[in-house]
Amino acid sequence: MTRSLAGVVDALTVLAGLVLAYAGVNALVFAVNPRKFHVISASFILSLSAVLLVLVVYLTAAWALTGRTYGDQLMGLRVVGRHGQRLGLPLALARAVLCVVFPLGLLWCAVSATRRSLQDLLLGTSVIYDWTLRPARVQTS
Amino acid sequence: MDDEPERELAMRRVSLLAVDAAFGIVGLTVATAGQLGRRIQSLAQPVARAALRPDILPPRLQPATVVDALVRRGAGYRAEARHDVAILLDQLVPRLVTEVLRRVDLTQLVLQHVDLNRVVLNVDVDALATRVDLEALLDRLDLTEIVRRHVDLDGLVAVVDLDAAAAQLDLDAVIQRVDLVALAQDVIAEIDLPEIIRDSTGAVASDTLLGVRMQSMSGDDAIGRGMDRLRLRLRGRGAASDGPEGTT
Repeated sequence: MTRSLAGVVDALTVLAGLVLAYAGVNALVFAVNPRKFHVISASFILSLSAVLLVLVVYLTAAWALTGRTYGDQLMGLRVVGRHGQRLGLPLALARAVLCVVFPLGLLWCAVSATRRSLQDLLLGTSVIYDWTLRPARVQTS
Repeated sequence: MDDEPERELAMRRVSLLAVDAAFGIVGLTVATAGQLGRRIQSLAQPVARAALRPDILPPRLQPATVVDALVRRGAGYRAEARHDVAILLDQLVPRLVTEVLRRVDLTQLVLQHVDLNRVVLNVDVDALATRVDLEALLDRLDLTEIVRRHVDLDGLVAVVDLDAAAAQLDLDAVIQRVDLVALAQDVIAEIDLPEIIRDSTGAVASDTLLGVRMQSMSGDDAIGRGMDRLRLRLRGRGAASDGPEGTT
């Protein structure tokens, strides 16, 4: 459930980013040539592939660099390797591609006794809770 | 009963008459004596001149000269005596006065015999006040301390109608004189507003986040438990078909 929430947040983040990028491209086109401007229409396939591509890039970068996406960060999750280390770039890329291509495999974590998705079982990765209560900030004045 | 005052009045009149008569006699005698004296003086003057300055004697031996010498010497004695008496009085009078004052309560005496109110009425208080150096007087006094010790300030304030006084204040004028914008800017500059906002929003956000994380964790646990139960049930059903040893 935590992972689904994190996934929803991530999906929303990527979607928002894409919408912003789409609006930005349109604005750029309008700025370059306002007279012949018309809203760029993208085909469904193009849009979907763009979404998936961006999602893969986003997940790979997040897992490889920090071990957590924005959604993971919010929900206090972290994706780690077999020995609890941060994922390397190939592993992160592989997990990202698997997740994007076969998202249903993620649901296996609900069924699995060790709460691991099919991707995790395949790659030897796991998702752990990683957050602590931040100590209350001391008032300085 | 009515005779008594009348008789007294008559007696007083009689005594007044007697006094007047006595004064009349004395006055007459004095006048007569004065006239007699002047007559004798006018008669005696030539005689005295002839006696004091006889032409047959040289002026040095004339009785007048002798008398003059006597007069001069007498005058000298008199001056001397006056001097001596002055010295004596200088020494005597202070002691005498001291002794007298020691025996007499002067204040009591003045209170008894002097109408102080009349005396004060004649005093020019304004002239006196102009001569008083009020500033110097105030410098010598610690007015704050005096007021604090002798004035019931709380009682005074309780009596004063502060509301009425406040109602008379022209607050608009006061506010117009105050540079509110500068004041507000100073206050804001003193307060680290961004830090406060950061703190409070951070606290709210972290509280919310904490709640969401805890909820989702318990949700995870619930799903896990549900799945465990399902798994147990499935395994139990399988074990029942397999045999009794699968019940563990």
